[in-house]
Amino acid sequence: MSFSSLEFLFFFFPITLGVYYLLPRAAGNYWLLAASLFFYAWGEPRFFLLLLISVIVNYSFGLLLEKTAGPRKAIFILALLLNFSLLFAGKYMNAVTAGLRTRFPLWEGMIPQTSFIMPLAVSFYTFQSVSYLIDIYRGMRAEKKPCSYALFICFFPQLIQGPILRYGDFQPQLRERKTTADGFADGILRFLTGLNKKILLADVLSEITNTAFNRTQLSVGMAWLGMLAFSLQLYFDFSGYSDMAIGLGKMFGFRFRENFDYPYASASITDFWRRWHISLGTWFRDYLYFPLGGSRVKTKAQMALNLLLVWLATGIWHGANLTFILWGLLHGLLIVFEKLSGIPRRLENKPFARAVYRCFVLLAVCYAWMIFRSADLSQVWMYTKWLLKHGGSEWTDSLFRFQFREYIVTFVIALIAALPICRYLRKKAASSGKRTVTAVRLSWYLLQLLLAVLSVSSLVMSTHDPFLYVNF
Amino acid sequence: MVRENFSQNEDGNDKMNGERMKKPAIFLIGSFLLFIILFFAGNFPLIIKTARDQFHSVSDFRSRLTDAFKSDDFFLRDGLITLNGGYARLSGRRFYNNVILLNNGFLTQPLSTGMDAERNARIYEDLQNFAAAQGGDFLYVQLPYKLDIEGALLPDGLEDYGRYGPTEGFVEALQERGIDVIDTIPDLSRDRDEIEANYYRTDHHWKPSAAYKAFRMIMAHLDARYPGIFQDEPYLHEENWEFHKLPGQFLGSLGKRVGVLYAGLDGLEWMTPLFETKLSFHVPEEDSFSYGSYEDVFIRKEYLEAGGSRMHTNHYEVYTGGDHALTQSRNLYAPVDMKLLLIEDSYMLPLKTFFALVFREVDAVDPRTYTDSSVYEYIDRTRPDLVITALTPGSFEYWSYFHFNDPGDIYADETKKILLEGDFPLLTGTKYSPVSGSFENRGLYRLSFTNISGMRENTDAVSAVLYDTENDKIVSKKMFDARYCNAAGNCEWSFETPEKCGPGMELRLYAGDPGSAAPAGPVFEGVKLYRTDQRNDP
Repeated sequence: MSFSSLEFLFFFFPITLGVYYLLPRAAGNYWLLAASLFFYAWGEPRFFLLLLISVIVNYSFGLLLEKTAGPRKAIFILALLLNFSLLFAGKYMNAVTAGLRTRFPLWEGMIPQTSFIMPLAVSFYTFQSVSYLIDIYRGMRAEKKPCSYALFICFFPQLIQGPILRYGDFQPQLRERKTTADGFADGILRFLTGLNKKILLADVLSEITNTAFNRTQLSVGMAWLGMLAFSLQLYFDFSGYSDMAIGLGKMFGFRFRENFDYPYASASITDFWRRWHISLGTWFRDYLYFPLGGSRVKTKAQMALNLLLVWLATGIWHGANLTFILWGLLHGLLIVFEKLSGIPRRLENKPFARAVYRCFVLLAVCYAWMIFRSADLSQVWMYTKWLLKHGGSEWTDSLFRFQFREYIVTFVIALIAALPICRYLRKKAASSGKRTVTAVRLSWYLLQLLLAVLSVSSLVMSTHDPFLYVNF
Repeated sequence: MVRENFSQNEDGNDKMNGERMKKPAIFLIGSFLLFIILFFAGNFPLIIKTARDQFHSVSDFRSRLTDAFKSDDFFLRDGLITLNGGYARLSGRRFYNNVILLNNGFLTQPLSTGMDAERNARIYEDLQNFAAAQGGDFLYVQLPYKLDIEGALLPDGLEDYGRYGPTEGFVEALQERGIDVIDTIPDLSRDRDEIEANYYRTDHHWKPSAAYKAFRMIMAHLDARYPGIFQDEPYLHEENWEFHKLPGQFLGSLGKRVGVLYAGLDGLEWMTPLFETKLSFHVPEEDSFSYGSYEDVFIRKEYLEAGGSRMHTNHYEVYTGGDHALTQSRNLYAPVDMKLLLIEDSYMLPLKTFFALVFREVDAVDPRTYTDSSVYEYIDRTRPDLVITALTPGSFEYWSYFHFNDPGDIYADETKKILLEGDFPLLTGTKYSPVSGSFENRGLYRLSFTNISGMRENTDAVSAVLYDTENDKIVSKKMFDARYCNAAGNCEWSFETPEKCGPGMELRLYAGDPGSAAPAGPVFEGVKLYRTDQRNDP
C-alpha cells in the first residue's frame, strides 16, 4: 500500500504504531517485522513468497560467506548472480526477449516471449541484499538473527521506494534505539511534509505532465511547461516518499540517511547527484565505481569509462527502456565533462559564470527528465523538436494558456518549495529571540497539519466519482 | 536584553543552551495523534465490518477495505470533499474532478467527441423504418447541452466540447435521411442568458421551465405536422402554471463532484398546473401505481422538504422519482387519443409529465436500463402511434441509445466471429499490450472484458486505444475505471474502424492513460473482441 493512501493513514499506520508502543521493548522488532510483511503482502500478494525466499537465501549466504574459508569468492559470485538473476527476470527479461524477437525474426520461434510481472520493490530489496552481501564479503559481521536480517530487508518505511539502507547503519539501531519527544515530533513533521509534497504538489503537477506527454503535437510553451512540471513532479513525488519513509523510521526510533537535499539548487551535475536519490548514488559509488577504480585510475580515459559504466548501470536500474539508458548516459557524459574540464571548480571566483552554469545544469537535468519520462526514443525526438519550435509547433496555444492558468498557483508553490528557502529562513529565525523561534516553529507545524488535512481531502476527492449522479 | 544562543542539531531541532524545545514538539505530537486517532476511530466501524465479512486472502481483504474507504461511509467524507473543492476554487481551478467552471459560475462537464454521425443517423433511420412498419410515426428531438453555442462561457484555452461534441453533424445527417427533427439547441443554449435561465447552476440538467419551453416547441411542431389534432389547451400557456422554488436546497450532480464551496447551491424548481388534472402513473420496476392530480402522481414530495443531505440526495428526481427503465402514464382526460412512446434520458423527467397531459397513453423507455426486451420488441408489441426520441448530447456516450438492446446484438458474441479472447497482462502506462485483430474498413467492433485485476494504487484507470501504426496516431480511445469492472459486471467499448483501415490498425491496452507513468500490473481478464455490424450495405 502507498503511504499516501487512506488505508495506510487510518488503518495500517495507527495499528502498527499503537501496538508497537504498547508492546514490551523486546517484542518491538518482531512486531515491526510482522507489520512489514503484512504491508508487502497487502501491496503484492503474488510475490510475497518470493520476497521471503530472497530474505532466507541472502541471510543464508551471509552466514556462509562469513563462516566459510573455502571457495568464498565462488559463493559470493553465486549469491550475486542469484540476486541479479531475480532482478533481471522480473524487470528486464520481457524487454530482452521482445527485442531479440524483433531483431532476429528468423529465430522468433525459438525465442519465447516472456510475460513476467515485475515483483513490487524488487529493485530496492535486491540492491539492499547485494550491499549486505558485499559488505560481508569485505569483512562486515553477518547478522545471526534471521528476524533482524528480515527486518533490515523488509522494514516497511523503506521497502517499496527506499532509501536503500546499509546494514552497517541499520544494525546498531536494531539493538538499541531511543525515541525522544523531539525525535518523534521530527518524524511526524517529516512524514507530514512528505505527504503534503506528494499529494498537493506531485499529484497535481502530474496532471500537466500527463497532458503534455499524451499529446501528438505541442506548442513550445506547453512542451516547456510539461518538461518543467515533470521535473518538479518527480522531485516532489520521490522526495516526498523519502520524507515519509524517514519520518516513519524516526517515529519508530530509526534514523535513515537523507535521500534528497534540494537537488535543484545544485551548482553542477556532480553536485546534483550528491543531492538526488543519494542512497542510490552512493550505492553505485561504493559498489561499482570504487571497485572499478573510481577516479584513482591511471588515465582520464579509464576514469571516463568508469563513470559512463556507472551511469549506464544507473539508467538500466531504472527500467528496461532505451530512454532510461539514454538518460543515464546523458548524466554520465555531463559528469565526465565536469571531471575533465574542472568546471565548476574553475568558476569559483566568477559569480556570473557560476550563475550561468547553474542555469545550464538545471536545463540539462530537466531535459534529461524529459528523456526519462518519454515512452520511447521517437517521443524523445518529437518532444525535443517541440521544445525548439520545430515540427510545426506554435509558440503558445490554447492548451498552454489553459494549463498555465489552471496550475499557476501550484507551480509557484512548487518552485518555492523546491529551493532551500525554508532552510534559509529557519537559519535567519535562529538568530532571533526564543519567542520568535517558538512562534515560527509552531506556525510551521500548524501549517503542515492543516495541509495534511487538505491532503487527506484530496485523497478522498480522488476516490469521489459519483458516476450514478452523472447519468443523463 | 540578553540574546540567547541557538544552535540546531542535525535533526533540525532548536536547542537553547542545551535544553530542547519541548512545547512545540508536544503540540505537534498531540495534534497529529489526535488527527490519526480521530479518523481511525471514525472509520473503525468500517474496518470491523470489513474484517467481519468473510474474506479469502489478504488481497481480498485489501480490495474490500479499499472499497469501504472509498465509499460514502468514510468518516467526514462529505466535509473533506467540500474542503477540497473550496481549496480548488481558491487556487483558481476551472476544470476539477471532470467538472468545468464556466465564466458565469455555472458548472458543466466535458463531452466525448469523434462519434460517427452517419452511422448514428443510419441507426435511427432503421428505428424510424421499423416504427413505420408497425404503424407509427417518428420524431427526433435534439435536446440542448449546458453550454452556449459559441462556447464563449468556457474558460479560455479549454477545448470546446459544446454542442458539437458527439452530435456534430448528427441532426443534418438525420434530416438528409428524411427523419423529422427538432433541434432545441439554437433556442435553449443560444447564449449566456439562455444558459442561466434554463439550467441549474450546479446540475447538468435543465430546469423544468426549460423543459416546458422545449415542450411548447415540440407541440408547435406536432401541430404543424398533424393539423387539427392538437388544440389550444391550457397546458400550452405559461400563465396556467404555478412555478415553485425552494432556495438553497439543491446541490446538483456536478456540484456533488466538487462540493458546495466550489459550486454553490441551487434553488430547487418545479411547476404545477393551475388547471384540473387527473391521470395515472405506473412504474413497473417499483411496482408502484398512483392515480390523482398531476402534482400527486408526478411530484415527489419527499424532495421538497427543507434540510436533509444535499450530497446524497438527487433533488432533480423531484419529477417522477428519477430514471426508470419503463414508465407508463394514462390520462383519459387527455385531448389527443394517441399512444406516445418516448425513448428517453433523464432530461425527459419533467418533459414526459407535460406529454402526459396531451396524450392518453405515454410510455417512456430508457434503453440504458430497460432490459426486459429490446426497444424494437416494445414497439412491435405496443404499436405506438408516435415514437419520440429526445436525447441530450451527453447521452451519446451510451451505446444503448444506438443498439436499443437489440437481441441480435446481445448475442453478437455467440454469433459473430470472436477475433480474440483471453487475459492480457503486463499493462503499463507506456508499454501496451497489443491486441491485433484483422480489422476491416468501417467495421463496428466491441471489446468486452469481465474484470481488471492487479491494479496498483496509483492508478484506477486502464485504457483501450485503437491505434493506427502506419500513420502513428490514436484513432479512438476509451478509459475504464477499474473500480467498476468486476466479476459481477462487464466493461465494454464499442468502436468503429475508420473508412480506410490498413493492416497496421491495432488495439492497445494500457494501464492508466497511454503514456502515463502507471506501473505494470493490471490485467484485462476475460477479454473478447468481436464484430457487431448490423449493416446491410456491401
